[in-house]
Amino acid sequence: MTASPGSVVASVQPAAPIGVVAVDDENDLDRPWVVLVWNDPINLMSYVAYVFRKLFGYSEAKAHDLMMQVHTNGRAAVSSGARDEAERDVFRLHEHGLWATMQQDD
Amino acid sequence: MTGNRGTGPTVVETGEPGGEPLFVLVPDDDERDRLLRWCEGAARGDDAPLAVRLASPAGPDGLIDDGVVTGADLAEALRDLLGAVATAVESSHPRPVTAGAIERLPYRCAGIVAFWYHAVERRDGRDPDPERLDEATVEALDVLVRLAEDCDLMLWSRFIARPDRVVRIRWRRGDAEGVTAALAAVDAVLETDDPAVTRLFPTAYGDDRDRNAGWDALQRGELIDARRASITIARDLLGRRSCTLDELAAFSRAINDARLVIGTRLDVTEDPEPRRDGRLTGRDGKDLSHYEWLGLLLEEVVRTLDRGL
Repeated sequence: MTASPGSVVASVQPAAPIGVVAVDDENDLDRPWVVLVWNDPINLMSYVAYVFRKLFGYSEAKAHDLMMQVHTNGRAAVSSGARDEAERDVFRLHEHGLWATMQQDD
Repeated sequence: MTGNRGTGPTVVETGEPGGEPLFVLVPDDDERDRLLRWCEGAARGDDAPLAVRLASPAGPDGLIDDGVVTGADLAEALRDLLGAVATAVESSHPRPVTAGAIERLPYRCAGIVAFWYHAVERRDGRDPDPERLDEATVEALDVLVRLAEDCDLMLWSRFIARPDRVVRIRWRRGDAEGVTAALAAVDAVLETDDPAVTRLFPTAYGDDRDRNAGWDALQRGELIDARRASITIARDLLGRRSCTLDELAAFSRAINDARLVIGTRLDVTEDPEPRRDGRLTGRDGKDLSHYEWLGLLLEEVVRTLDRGL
């Protein structure tokens, strides 16, 4: 069955302590963003591996390993970088029908 | 699926996109010497168990059950193929082969691989241990399997990527109806709140509502435009006999979108069995058939796209 993407993201987004000026995480450039792809029962394994090769230029072996991670672990981190880079990757993955989210690395 | 093997001889199609297909065996310089040595050894009988099997007038002991093919046929096929492969790998130039030869190659390649395994099993009393195979044999068997796959793709696939990156399309009866219905299924709900489009527009930030709302406001329109463009290209391809790899990639996205919409509506899960227990009748049953047909079509498209990367 497919894992929910929400639970993981929630655990890495602690609320800002009361009385402390919250750091605007829009400007928190130190921590990279990680793009995750989630398992779903519809996308073909071959299609997912192909999309990884096409979008990220990964080798056949790496794309296959990432696809198997998604399939068996429910998700895999497929790229990371600055926020705008991660957003571009998520957009392209959505364009290809993959279930992708992004979250900031700890 | 491994990524570290060489390419070996491959079969490519070089005919004019609108004309008759012309198939060419292309040798790979990196592997050809070793493959050639293995082929020569097998043909000469350096590999003792293989030679025994080749010399045996008897059938291959249950290898082929239907009784149509004899051991002698297999031996002949092996000699032919080894000759064809040897010629291909000896030449540094692509070697044209006839469609008839292509038709026989998958069977011959598969036959040789099965034949070889059978011979080793007979010698050792058990299946060949992949860990103990010598490198030349591993490569040769790998090349034979890939040749068989190449030929199979050339013969049966609707989409063949030629060396000049033009894709030859061979539509089959019923394709236009199946694809048109799939594209219409996406088109009908693309700009609606129909629950079936959920998977076309996933959230980007998990359960961060504010950011997800911002993402949706910014990106949904662009995603809709991209999907419409893919649908338009896919519709156009139905009337054509060739296309570019980019157009085929757009076709794959449109078909995948249709599977997401139809699959979501059918509540498809990883385990398809419960959906086949007879409860599906009428429209759902028809949609499930359509959904699975689209999956087969997409597999075929991906095989071609993969080779074009």
